[in-house]
Amino acid sequence: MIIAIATTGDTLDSPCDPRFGRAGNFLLIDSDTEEIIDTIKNPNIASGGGAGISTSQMLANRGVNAVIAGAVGPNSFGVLDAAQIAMYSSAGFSTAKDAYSAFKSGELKRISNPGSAGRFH
Amino acid sequence: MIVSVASGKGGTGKTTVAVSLAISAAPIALVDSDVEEPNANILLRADHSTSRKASLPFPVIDMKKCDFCEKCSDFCAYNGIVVLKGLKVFAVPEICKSCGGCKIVCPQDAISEEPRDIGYIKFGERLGIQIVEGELNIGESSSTPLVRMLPDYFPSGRDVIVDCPPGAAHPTVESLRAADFVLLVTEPTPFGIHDLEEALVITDELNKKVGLVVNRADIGTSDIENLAIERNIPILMRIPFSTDIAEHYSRGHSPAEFSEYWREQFALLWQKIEEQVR
Ligand code: SF4
Ligand code: SF4
Repeated sequence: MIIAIATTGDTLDSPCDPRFGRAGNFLLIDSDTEEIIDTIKNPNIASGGGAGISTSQMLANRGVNAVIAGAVGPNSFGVLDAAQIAMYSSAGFSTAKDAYSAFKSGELKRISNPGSAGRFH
Repeated sequence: MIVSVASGKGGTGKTTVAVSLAISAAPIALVDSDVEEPNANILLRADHSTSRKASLPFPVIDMKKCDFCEKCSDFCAYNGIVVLKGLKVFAVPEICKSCGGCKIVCPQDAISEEPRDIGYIKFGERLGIQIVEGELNIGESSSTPLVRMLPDYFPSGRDVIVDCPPGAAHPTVESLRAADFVLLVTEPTPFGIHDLEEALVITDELNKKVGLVVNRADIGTSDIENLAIERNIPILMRIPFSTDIAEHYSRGHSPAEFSEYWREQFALLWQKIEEQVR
C-alpha cells in the first residue's frame, strides 16, 4: 500500500501539515517495505480555488491508497472518495513519523466526513 | 430605463425601497437579483404565473473515448475537472465555471455538455408590477451566473427596477451592469457609511449615475450628508425612523401599498430619478 502523509517539511521528522489541498509536501511511503518512495513538493500550495481537487488527482494518479492529513475539505473528500483512497487524520500527532506509526498500529482515526468547507465564488 | 437598487450590506431597507418604488412607478417591471435570498415578492405577494429552470452547460465525459491524457484537467484553471487514471473523469459542479474549455482541448472528443440546473427564474404580476425573480438552488456555490442571466428576462417595453444582492462582491457587480441609474440605500451609521463607500467603488468603476436614499435618516450621524456633498451625490430621499413606517416593516408590507403618503413620496423619488437620468 502507498501512504501519502501531508507534512510541512520533507523528512519523517517533519511536522504533520494540518492542511491537505495546500499542504507543503507529501511523503509517499510504501507500507510493505516501509520505505519513503517519494517526496512530493505540492505544486498546488498557491493555487486559487480547487487546490484540493488538483492535489487529490495528483496523489490518486501516483497510485496512493491512503492519505494522512489534518483535515480534508469537501472537494478533496469527493475526489479521494471517488478514487477509493482512504483518509486518516493526523490531528494530535506532531511529526510524520508519529502519525505513520499510529497508522501502522491502527490507531489513526478514519476521516469519514469532509472537514473545513471551502466555498468558491 | 433600468434602475438598480443596491446597498453595501443587507438590512438597510433596500428591498422595501425597491418594492415601494415599483408600486409608485407602476406599470413597471421588478427584478429580484438577490438570488440567494429573493424576498421582494414577500412584500409584493404576486402569484407566480410561470417559472423556468436556469441551467449552465456542464461537461460530461464519454469514458469509452477517454484515454486519461489529463489535457482537460491541465487546462482547467479552476481545477473543475478530475482525471482519475484508469478509473474515471468527472467535472465538479461546485467548481466548474462552465467555460467550455475542457471540451475544446480534449483530443479524443470525449467531452460533451449537458445542462445542469442551478436555479429558477420565476414570473408573476401584481399591482401593475411584472416581477422576475431569480432563485438559486440551495448548495450552489456561486450566484453570479444566475444573476448574469437575468437581463435576458427583463420584460421589454417597461422600465425595470432591479433589487440587487447586498454586499459589494461579484453578484452585486453583475446586477449593476445593465443599470442606467443606481439607487444606493444607506443608513447614517459608521457601518452604513463604510458599506456605502465600498458600494461607491463599484459604481465609480462601472461609471454609473448614483443617488442616495438615507433610511432612518433622523438617527445616527450627519457624516452621510457630508459624504454626499463631498462626492457630489444627490440624496434623493430621506426616510425617518417613524413609527408609521416601522409598522409597515414589521407587518412585512411595503409602505407604498398601504399608505397614500408613502406612495406619493416614492412617486416623487421616481420622478427625481427620471430627472437624474435625463
Ligand atoms: S482530455 Fe479527454 S481524453 Fe484526455 S483525460 Fe480529459 S476527457 Fe479524457
Ligand atoms: S467547463 Fe471550463 S471550468 Fe468547467 S471543468 Fe471544463 S474547463 Fe473547467
